[in-house]
Amino acid sequence: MPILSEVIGSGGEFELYPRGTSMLPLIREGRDSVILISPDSPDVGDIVLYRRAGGQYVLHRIVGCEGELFTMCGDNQTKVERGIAVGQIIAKVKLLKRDGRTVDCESAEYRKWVKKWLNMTYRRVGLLRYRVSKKLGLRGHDE
Amino acid sequence: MKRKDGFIVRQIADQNVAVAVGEASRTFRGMIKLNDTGLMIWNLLEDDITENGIVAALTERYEVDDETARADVRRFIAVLAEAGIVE
Repeated sequence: MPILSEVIGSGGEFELYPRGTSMLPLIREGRDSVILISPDSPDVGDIVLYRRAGGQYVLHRIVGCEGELFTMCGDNQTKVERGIAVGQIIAKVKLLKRDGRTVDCESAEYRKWVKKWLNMTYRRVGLLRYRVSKKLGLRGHDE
Repeated sequence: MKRKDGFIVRQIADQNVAVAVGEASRTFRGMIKLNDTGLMIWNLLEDDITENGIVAALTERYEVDDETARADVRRFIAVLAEAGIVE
């Protein structure tokens, strides 16, 4: 990670092969990589690499902000993580790479998709809550 | 021949690796692992040097004959050339 910071701090780009499942279906471990750049001014919708207070490095999407602090959530997660300061953000994803194809995270097409995705996340959470509450018998089956 | 600017060597878990920084990192992504000999050649390439010059430096420092050293140097340079690091 110091090398990553050094490369990005020099105005460079760093290719990272993310691990884990929290950014599915967009980023799959072993298949996809991301090109990271300096975060300049992180914004809602950006996928960023940040460091938690406990020292852990995480690659998740910014889903909101409250004052100076950002709210994060992996695409495959429903629980958000609040209170991430801009100083904790090390890099942001500029390009997504899959099978030699690339997606520019600044392109209008991608931003449009992100907007849709962020809206959908809330619906997805709603749907999940509905399913869980139904399972728990908190809602009627005929609802 | 000479190594292009824009690379740094850092130690990761006792292993020397070269990575690109700044502008160079836009075209070269990844890391080059360097063993002791690799690091020596890498450092020699900071200034313009000939193949003969590198071979001479290696045979002087290590107990290796000219032919073996030359083969190693050529193989290493070929890797760097393919990555566009030497010109």
